Amino acid sequence: MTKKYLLIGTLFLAVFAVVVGVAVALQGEKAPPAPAPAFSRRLRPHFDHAPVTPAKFESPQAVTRSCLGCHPDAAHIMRSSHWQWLGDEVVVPGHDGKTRIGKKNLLNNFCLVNRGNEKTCTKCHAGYGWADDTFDFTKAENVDCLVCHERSGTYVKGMYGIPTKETDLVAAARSVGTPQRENCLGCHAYGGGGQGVKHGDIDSSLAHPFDEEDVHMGRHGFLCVDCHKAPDHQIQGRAFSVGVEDSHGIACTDCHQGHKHADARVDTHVKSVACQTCHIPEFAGKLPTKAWWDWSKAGDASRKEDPHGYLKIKGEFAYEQAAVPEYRWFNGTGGRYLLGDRIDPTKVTALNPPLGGIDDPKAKIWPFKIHRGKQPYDAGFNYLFPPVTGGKDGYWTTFDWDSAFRLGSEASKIPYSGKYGFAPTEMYWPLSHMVSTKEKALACTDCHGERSRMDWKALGYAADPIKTGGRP
Amino acid sequence: MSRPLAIAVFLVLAVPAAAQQGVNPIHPVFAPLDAAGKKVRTVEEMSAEKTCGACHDAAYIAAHTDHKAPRAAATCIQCHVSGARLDIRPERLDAEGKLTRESIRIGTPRAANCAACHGLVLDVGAPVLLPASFEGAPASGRTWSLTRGEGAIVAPQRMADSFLDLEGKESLSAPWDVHAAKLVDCVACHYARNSPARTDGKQGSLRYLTADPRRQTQAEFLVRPDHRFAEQDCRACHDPMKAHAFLPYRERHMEVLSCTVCHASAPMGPAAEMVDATVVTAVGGPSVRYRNVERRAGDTINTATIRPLRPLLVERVESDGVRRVAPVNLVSRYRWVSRADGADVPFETVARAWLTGGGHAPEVVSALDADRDGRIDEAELRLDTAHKTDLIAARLRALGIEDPVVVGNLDAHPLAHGISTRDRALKNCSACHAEDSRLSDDYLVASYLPGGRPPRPPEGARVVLAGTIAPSPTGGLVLQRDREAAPGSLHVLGHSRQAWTNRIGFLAFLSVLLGVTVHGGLRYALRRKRGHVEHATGEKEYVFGRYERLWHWTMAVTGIVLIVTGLEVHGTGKWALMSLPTAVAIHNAFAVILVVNGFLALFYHLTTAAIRNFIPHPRGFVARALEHMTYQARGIFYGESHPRNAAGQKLNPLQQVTYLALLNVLFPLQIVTGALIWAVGKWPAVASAVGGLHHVAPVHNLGAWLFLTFFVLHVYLVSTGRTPTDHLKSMITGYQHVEADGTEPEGAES
Repeated sequence: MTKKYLLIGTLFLAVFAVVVGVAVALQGEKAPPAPAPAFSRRLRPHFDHAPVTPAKFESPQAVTRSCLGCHPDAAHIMRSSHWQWLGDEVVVPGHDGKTRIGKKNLLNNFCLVNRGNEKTCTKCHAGYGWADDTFDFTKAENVDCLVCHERSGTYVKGMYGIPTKETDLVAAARSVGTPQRENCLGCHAYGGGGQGVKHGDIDSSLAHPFDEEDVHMGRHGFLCVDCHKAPDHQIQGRAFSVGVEDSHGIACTDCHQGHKHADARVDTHVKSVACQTCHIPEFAGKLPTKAWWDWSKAGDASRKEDPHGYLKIKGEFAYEQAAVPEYRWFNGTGGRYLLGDRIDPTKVTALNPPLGGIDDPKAKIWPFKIHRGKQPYDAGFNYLFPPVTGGKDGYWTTFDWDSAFRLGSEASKIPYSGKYGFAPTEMYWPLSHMVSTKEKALACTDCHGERSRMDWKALGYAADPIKTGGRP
Repeated sequence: MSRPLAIAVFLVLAVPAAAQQGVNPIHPVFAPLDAAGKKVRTVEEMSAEKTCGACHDAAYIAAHTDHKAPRAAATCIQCHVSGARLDIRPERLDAEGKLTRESIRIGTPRAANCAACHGLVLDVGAPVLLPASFEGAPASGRTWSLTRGEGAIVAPQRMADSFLDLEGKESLSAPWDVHAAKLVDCVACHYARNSPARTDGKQGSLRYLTADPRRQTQAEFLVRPDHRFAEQDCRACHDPMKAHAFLPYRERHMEVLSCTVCHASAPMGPAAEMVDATVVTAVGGPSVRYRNVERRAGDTINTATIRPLRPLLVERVESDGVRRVAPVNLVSRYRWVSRADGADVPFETVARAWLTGGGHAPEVVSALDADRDGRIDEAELRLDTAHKTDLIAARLRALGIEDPVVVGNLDAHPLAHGISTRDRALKNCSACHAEDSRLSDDYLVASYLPGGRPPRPPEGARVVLAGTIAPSPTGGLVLQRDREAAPGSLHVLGHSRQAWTNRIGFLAFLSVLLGVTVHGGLRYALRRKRGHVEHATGEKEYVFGRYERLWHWTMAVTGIVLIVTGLEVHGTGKWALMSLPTAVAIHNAFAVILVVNGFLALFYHLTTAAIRNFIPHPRGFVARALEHMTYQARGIFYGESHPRNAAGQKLNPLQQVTYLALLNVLFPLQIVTGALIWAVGKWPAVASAVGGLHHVAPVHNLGAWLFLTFFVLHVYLVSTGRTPTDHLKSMITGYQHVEADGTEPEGAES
């Protein structure tokens, strides 16, 4: 009997609770979305490798063999561009047939070219001993597992990517786990020969950024690999400096699906403006990034050396900090300058021009860091040239461009006419990192009105689209 | 010394010139003319009236403008030309004496043009800070009315990025002015009324009139633009009913409140309390006292802490002609006036009377320097005695001013500019719906009275300053307001008190609480003398059917919820059980449950004849009632059995009377008044037909107290059964002990 009343009483209270709940739910403000889960849980390795690590390694390759003993599938990294420095076969706009392009065979306007300069360039190769074309890309033991996975913080790669003598391989091997920010930044923050040279939006400040420097890594504790997932060691993400299409790319909308802004007018921008445009109001906020590199000034012993202004071996530089991006239409694909392409040395050659325009419905206005400079070219054949700078007889030792060109001609198998010069070039670096907090995002007046950061006419608009309307 | 210097350098560097107006490709090139109509080659000779008047109807504009003397004498150039200055130099003129195309930077007035007189209006790019002229000698016509009057700084910049020291700055990520941030400039709301490009705003205008052929053509408009500018209020563009879903009584709030009550509730610009131009500071400006600026001696206004301004809420006639409660700031402005011709004494003359060389004149210092430190401090710089006033008056007379007197005006500046985003809007209900709310704030009118004169309140103003202006302890004046009233004689739930009903209700509640405490205490004290064993047998009888128990407990729960939420509404802010909107929502929902439950119960009682229990049996009613009273007053203490009820009735006569009153008077009263209070939000006309909330709310309030009183009594009487928990158990199980002497069991006081 008592049970029955208890039951009725409970039901009764339940009905009231529902009524109250509905009333509150109808009136109460919506609860804020739960914060993103902390990613710090992976700061500790899920498995302590110390007990299974041998007491001594003969060579770095021995470490790799040891890794492969338990993780044979890890050898799949050898299919990736981190190992090959070449991408999949693609059609490069303006070129016939399909080509495999990558760091291995492309020119840039920083340290110019890998081939012939492997000694220092391949310090950042995820492998051991890439010295010249004889390097065996099929030999799994040459893969450098540690550079991405070690957490001791003591692992230093030297010439040709071989760890320096002093490196404690055992300590490094014992510490392995999911790649940390520092693993990625070790190469990606220092590409081009120094801190923040290449990317405007990746430098070592991302190891421990403040919220407004990078909201994902600062506020939410993201690791690089939270976005750049690596199923089967195929690391996701697309570097526009060495690729021409956006396969394996990562988009903001992969996570921020169906996002609506508080103001509907902002949403109307989304079809023409990339997320990054507003949410990365500036780049290189904390550490400067290189904006200008003039190789033609190199070799002047009389000038004062300053790593941010002038180096005899490299020429003249300019750095920028807390810089306002430049904006271009970009549909995710680009053109690419390939070795041997003719140039007009009187004009600026874009090594990787972003494709898309106001008439391209897939294109959006993107923020770019544009790295400009002057780099060596063959004045007889009118193409950009891959001289040898490093090594015993390279330019950095001899300060003789002619001999550097001749060495480069051999290394890259490209004819040299005997005449050289310096041509203006630029490289486009779309910005996707260093996303700031929403409070710092661009607001209307940053782009519209009299003080606009957009050059509307250059983007193809008649005038400020707030007055003349956006594209249809 | 280095700090002011550094700040000065900073100011120079930090305020870049406002972006220049673009070249107007349409405006014809023209030759600047002088007053005689002759071509001129310098800007000094030029007459704007003649030059612009060559095409535009200068006479019409002069006759149709708000910007005319004596309040303001703005010229065409000041408002329509970039930088308020035509650039006439020989190299800008062609052979015919016409300005070249590049010099035609003429167009619709931009924010910077308006700002030149009205206040601090800043462009993108410049971090917000107050220019040196803000504190210095007043430039001609520059009133700073937006900033000093309203605390508004019109800038698109985020407040957190400005250079000012704002309280809680790090969290102020909203822009200074959301309209400026979204490129809505001054003329968007203050446009020429006869512009064919504009109808009278989005709302309320007739759509077909946008293409009305009878409107002026653009050409006609350009000749004769009406310079009595529109004053669009928020509702011209925004429909408040499309937002504010969170707000209970949305219609009501929108009807009686100006949007700015919530959306300009805490301006962060320096708002003045008093602009005393009868005195001159050492830097040559009038003495300005701010309401929301906390500065240490020697601080510039840029380094002083600025707090949110808490405006005065008053009744105001809005631009659409409707009276609403609106926030204003009161500024008393004092100046010297020559009584001979009634004209203001120019401030430059006043400055000459005060200053000699680089600082205050020695005679002035000796008269005002109370602490004898050789200089006039901020607190000393005031004409608060006849002696000081006479001294300056004498010095003014010496400068040729006839019969100078101090005159003060009290200006009420409605807060309408510098509206930030919705995140900065007032969302705290208890800001108004609480006893100590901003609706009845006292407001300092003047902290002292220059020349001993009170400021003259505005004449024919659209603002109603309810309350009394009384002397303040510091020797100034303060606007004192009725603690329990609200502007516009509104009845504000949670704020307005219903003095006598509230008191009567509370007294009733208190006396019953006291009564049952004494009664219960006595019963407890005398429990040994009472032999209740003889009338509480082990026998039980089924007295309450299933449905009776269901509706009783439903009523009980809804009643308790209504009382709790009602108290929450009544004393907003005192009990932080839940937010006001939640309390109102729950109260309304449970009121509906109670009414439905009541009607179902009535139906049950009518159809099952159980209603008989509630109808007193006339025969012997008085005697039985007396018997019961006697029992409660005496017998109960000695363990006597309950007196008998009338045959076949569960309720005793006292209960019957109580329930008759409860069900026939209190219930309908609460339901009707409650519905009317609810209707105030939806159909205000219905409630106002019976006197509005002023009458309805106190009645509901009294009813609520009586309910609470009944509740206390009821709960107490439950304990007077054969055993203290007997009645309670019976209402749960339905079974009740039978009286020992075989009398009919008395029903619980249900």
